Amino acid sequence: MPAARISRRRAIQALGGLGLGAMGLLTGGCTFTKGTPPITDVGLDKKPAPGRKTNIEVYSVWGSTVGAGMVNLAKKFEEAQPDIGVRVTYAPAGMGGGAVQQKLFTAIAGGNPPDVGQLVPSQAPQWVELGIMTDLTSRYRAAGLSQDDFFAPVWESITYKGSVWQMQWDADPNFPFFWNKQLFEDSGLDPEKPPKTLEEVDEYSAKILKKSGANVTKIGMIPWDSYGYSNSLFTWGFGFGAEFYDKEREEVTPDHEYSVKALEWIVKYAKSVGGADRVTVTPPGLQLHPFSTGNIGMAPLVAPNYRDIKTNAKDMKIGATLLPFEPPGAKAPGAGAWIGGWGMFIPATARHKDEAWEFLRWVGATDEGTKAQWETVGFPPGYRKAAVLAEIRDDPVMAPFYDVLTTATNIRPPVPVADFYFTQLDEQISNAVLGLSTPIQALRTVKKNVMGEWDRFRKEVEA
Amino acid sequence: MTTTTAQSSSAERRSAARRPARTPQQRRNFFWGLVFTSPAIIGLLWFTLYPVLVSLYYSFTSATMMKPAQWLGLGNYESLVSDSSWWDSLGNTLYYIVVSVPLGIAVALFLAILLNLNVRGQSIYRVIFYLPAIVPLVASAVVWLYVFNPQYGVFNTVLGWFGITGPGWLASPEWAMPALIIFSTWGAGNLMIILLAGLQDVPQDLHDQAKVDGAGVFRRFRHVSLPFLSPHLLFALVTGLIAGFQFFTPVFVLTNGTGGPAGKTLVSGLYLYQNAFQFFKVGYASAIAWVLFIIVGLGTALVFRLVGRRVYYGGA
Repeated sequence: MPAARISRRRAIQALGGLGLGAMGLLTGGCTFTKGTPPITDVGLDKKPAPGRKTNIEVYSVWGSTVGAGMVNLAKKFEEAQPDIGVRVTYAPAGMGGGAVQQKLFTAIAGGNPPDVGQLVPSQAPQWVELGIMTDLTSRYRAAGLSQDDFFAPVWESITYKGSVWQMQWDADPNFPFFWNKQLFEDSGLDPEKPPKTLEEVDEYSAKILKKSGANVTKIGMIPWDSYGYSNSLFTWGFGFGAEFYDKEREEVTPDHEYSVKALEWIVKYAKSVGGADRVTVTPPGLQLHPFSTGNIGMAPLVAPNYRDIKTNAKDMKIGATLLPFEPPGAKAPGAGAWIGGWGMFIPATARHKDEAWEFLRWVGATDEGTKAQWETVGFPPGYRKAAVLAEIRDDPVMAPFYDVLTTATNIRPPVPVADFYFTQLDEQISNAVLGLSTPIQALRTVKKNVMGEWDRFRKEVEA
Repeated sequence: MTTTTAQSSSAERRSAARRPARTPQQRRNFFWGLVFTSPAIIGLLWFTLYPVLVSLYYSFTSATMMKPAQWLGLGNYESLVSDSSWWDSLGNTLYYIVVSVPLGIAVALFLAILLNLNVRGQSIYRVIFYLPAIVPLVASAVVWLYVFNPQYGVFNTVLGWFGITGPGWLASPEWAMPALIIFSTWGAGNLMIILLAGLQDVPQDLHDQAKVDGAGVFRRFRHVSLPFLSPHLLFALVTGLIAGFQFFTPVFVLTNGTGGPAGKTLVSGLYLYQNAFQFFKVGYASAIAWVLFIIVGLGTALVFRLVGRRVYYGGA
């Protein structure tokens, strides 16, 4: 039988067909969009209310709904007093969970800073040393605000070298622990009995695990992906009883005994499911947290993710409790929780510091402002005396977060090279989880590199 | 005095012999030419040349953007030598270049040859294959996040039809860089157009003569088309090399700027960005940029030396 000949015409037609097909698949064939689409940059260029004595500029790192919330918050501030107008400018944060704010940095470096900027609280030591931030200690004192007015981890975050540098208006309680009752039931587990220890997490996980070939399609938990590798190690490290820096000795301690144990547990977990790169429980295009797919048994969640799931996956039966822990290092459930969030600061070269402080104080440390913030942006305040906390406690969605907010004791290590530390953790934990190094090697490498960077930074600041 | 006058007039004569004196109209034209081009010239000097020179200065300092810079001499360059992350980033960049540049050229050439065939609907095919090149890079990268999804993505779905379990792509340390390389060939349309133009410049009579002499399709391509395409291929190689060293946007979008997994996609451009904007080490980042510039310069010179003399410029 003669071999079939393919003409050039046929060849190019087939190739064209393939091209069209591929384009079709790429552009339309893969959309499994679920959830509420984001509101794109709504009203982010808010102009100040007219006729004010002074106008201040506030940078918002958020677009979408949170950005719109910032605009509404600024409007409420303008309604609360007659003198200060607020311009809200969109200044998006890039990579690193807000670490990179190019617009803010270039505005400050170029001598045209906003009056109020945003930061992740753990960045403050580096920004203070670089002379970016204004010391707010005397303003706090004059306003009668002290340590007692804030949750303990929040106060630890906003102070550095005996001074106060920021107003933490968002105390992000990371994390309550959630479980999928239906998946528990389907896996032969008691849907009303969440795990208390990490040993129990392992037991439950073994029952939940489902694979399709080498790929994992249902998993108990993804302990290396609790909002990134470094946040995962902080969470589970605290859950084992670890400490990540020694304040007195000015030394990072990623290789703390319990931190190593936590990473060993994470690595073992990844191996037990066939490798971290084999977990494919999330369809592409999903705008909700992967927990909403019903393919993940247990997960720590932040408040916006949980709120979105409750809104969009109403039938999902979800239980909430405190994070499982691991004795003997950690003593009780919830030991792994920590407070993250966002602070506002006044750049050292800002033009309207008095008015900027009025805004900070109102948003972060008054009953009226914290309530306005809760109603517009929707983050729990760090101000312990805020009346709105009762509302948050009684909110069915936020109640688990209230429990964490009022009991958590940890924060991410606020060292002067915090972002370098987190980046190193991300890289080295990734190495360990993917089997390219051992946990102890990975964490010792982090310590060596971070201490080297800290020394360099010290010399640079002292020079 | 006399001597000086004599010398001046001699110089003027020589000058006049070389270049005829400008007329008032020419002088006016020159003046207005300068006036109208001055915004571009000033822009070039202020927004390109000045930052380039400042970055050279910063590369010898501890510049942070926020504090006055301290002079470090060659300190940043010495630190680079002992920085394992920088060496890793350079290795990742070279891996990307060594695979993606030849692959991109091969794919573009293959498509150009096919699209040069005389078939019905040729222009439609050309549009189809050029289209990806005009889609913004960030938008393409976001779409490719779906394509690389290990369970639901196009690649692994197709592999699954043949009973093959595809890799984790962007989650896998072995496959993350190949995934980025595959993505980069998606934009081969630009180069394809250039090579197609080159193919259409090959004189048809040479093909006809070769055919009469009994040369087959491959020999005609090898001995007729390829020499005429060689300047275009040299262009593709040099620009591909330069673009490869500047590789940034896809890796930033597809890996969320982390260079993961396990640092396997941490390319030089991304490492530079991290140092400048995340760690406030602007001086160090400038040193990285200048070393990259030197490497690109040397690489380009090497390409011209090794390949340049083999290029055929038609009758030139």
